Amino acid sequence: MIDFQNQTLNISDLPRFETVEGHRVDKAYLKVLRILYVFWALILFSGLLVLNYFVDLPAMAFFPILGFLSILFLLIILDIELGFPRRKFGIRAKDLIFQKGYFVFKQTIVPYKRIQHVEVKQGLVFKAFKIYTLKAYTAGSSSGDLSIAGLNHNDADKLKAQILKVADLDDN
Amino acid sequence: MTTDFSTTQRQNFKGILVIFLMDLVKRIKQNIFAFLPLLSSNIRQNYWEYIVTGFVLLIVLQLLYSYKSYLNFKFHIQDGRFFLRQGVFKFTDVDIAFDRIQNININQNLIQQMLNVVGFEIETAGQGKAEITIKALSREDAIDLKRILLENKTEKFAENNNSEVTAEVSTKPKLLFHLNLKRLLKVGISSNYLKGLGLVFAFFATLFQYIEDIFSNFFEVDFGETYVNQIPETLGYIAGFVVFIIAAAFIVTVATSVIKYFELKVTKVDNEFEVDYGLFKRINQVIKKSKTQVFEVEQNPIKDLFGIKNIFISQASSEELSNKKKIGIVGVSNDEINTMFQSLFDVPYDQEFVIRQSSFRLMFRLMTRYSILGLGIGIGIYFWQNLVISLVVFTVLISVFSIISYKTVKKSHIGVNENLIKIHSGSIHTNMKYIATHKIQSLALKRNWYQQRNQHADLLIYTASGDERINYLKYEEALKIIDFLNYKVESSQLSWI
Repeated sequence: MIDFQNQTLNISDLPRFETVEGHRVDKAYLKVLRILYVFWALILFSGLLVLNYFVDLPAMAFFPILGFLSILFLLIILDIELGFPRRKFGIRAKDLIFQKGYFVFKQTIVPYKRIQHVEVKQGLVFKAFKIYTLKAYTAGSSSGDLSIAGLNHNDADKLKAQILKVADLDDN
Repeated sequence: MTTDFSTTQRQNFKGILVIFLMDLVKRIKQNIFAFLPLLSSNIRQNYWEYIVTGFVLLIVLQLLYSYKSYLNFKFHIQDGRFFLRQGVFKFTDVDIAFDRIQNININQNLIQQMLNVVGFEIETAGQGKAEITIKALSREDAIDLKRILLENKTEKFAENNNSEVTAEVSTKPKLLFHLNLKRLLKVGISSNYLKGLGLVFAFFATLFQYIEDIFSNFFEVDFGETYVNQIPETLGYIAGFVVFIIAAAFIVTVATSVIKYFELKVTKVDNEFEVDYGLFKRINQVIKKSKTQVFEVEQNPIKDLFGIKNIFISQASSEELSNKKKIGIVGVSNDEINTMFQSLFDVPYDQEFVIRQSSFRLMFRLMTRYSILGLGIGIGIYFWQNLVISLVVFTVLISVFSIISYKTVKKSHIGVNENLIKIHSGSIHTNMKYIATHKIQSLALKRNWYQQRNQHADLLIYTASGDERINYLKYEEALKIIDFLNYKVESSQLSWI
């Protein structure tokens, strides 16, 4: 138990963010991620093979590159496939929580009142699957910003409305 | 003679030269690689007419461009707003309300010093890049303009709540701290030599051929052949070289700090601090209470001996904050830290914190990284020299790295109390960062695959002036800290700016 000086509240009574029930992002996002990694794997491996065919790379170069690429893609695929169930967002009265990652698991909390503006965007591939990315910008550098990819239309709208509602309340 | 800023103004007439020279320097810096062919005497001999004509043409074009950009640069003040129109081929109109202005900096670089004009910078709040730079104003005009911009702001503010502000305005600027040359030298001597060493190495790496010539004439040692036969001389050569490098690094380090922080002055105006420093480039910066995000105190064993410390203050910024943008107040004593701290945070510097230490497992992470680095250097030296030297270097490196990692782990902790966070870090030096809890933007916990199994986590704290990270806290404790800090942010009525 942390023993704070001049204690006015009990630490164990504080709301605990780790107990928040998270919502998963849309399953369609997993499809998008799969398409993307298959696409890049195809491009890079075939590129390497074509290069090898024309230039005839020495084995000293070819096999290490091949090995490096294989391991890299293996890790990326594992991270995506095993990490997808952990990709969750939580909405609380005063903050937004997002967590993701398999090899490196990161949980971020952004209080609504520190959000400067919200952006909902949709890339080309996302459009085909009808999913969106919601970005919540905070002040300062971009590393503290929250970006939730793979929300369906309903969730994205709800999240955005919730953030804007709380921000409005704070103004008044 | 005062300038009327309500009519359209251009910059000081000398501005043409300032703009021209500054643009020229910028162009040369950008295109430095274009000069590379000139290193070949062949090209120099065969094409020198073209080269000279080309240069003259480019310089004339640049002069025309600079002249046009001087002509088109117009600003004026109207109805509590600052208007600026600038551009050469396309125009940009900027319009800033006085109360949006956060900071005004008056700088003077070498070119401006020679022509006796100053640069004028208007900074606005965190978002966007609406910052304005006027490259040449006479000093009187600059001070006038600054007074007008800031005065109107306080007046406007005073209308809203009269009683509070009038008391503030009446305070006279008060010199809080002046760094004399003796203390400045102490600062230089106690600086981190690695930077100076880096500069020296970069310099000598380019000139190595010449140096080798000079030294081998001097010691009459021929590198290649007599390497084995004349071991004493070779050792003498190496020792001489090492001493020379260390001396050079020392001088370079001291000189850079003296040039950078020459005549450092901190004045207190109302509730703000104004900081002036620099030998060639005089810089004037304002520290605002509301904009201050991180208060950093740095000390190291030599500084402790001299009884001095360095403070670095980071203010809210829309860009990624580099070390350069931190405002450094070097060579201060404990009393001066207390005064600054008290007026920026409203609480005394001496604070009780609940401390949570990084786990000793952090040592493994650091040593893994250092071992890879050490192995890389060792293997490099093995191919360059031989196994014995490589092993010796590797052993020395690893022992130095072990000490550094041990110290890093020992010094890594976070302290939390009702108002503040204290982040303690460093290895040989010690670094303490203070952040008011309500200035936090967002929080995160990061656990890699290994940490997920051994119940540890890295805590990340994002502020408007960059990220802070505390490695390897116990997961349970990290959770408590993050819940507590989050509660503090969300329950606080204070704004981050």
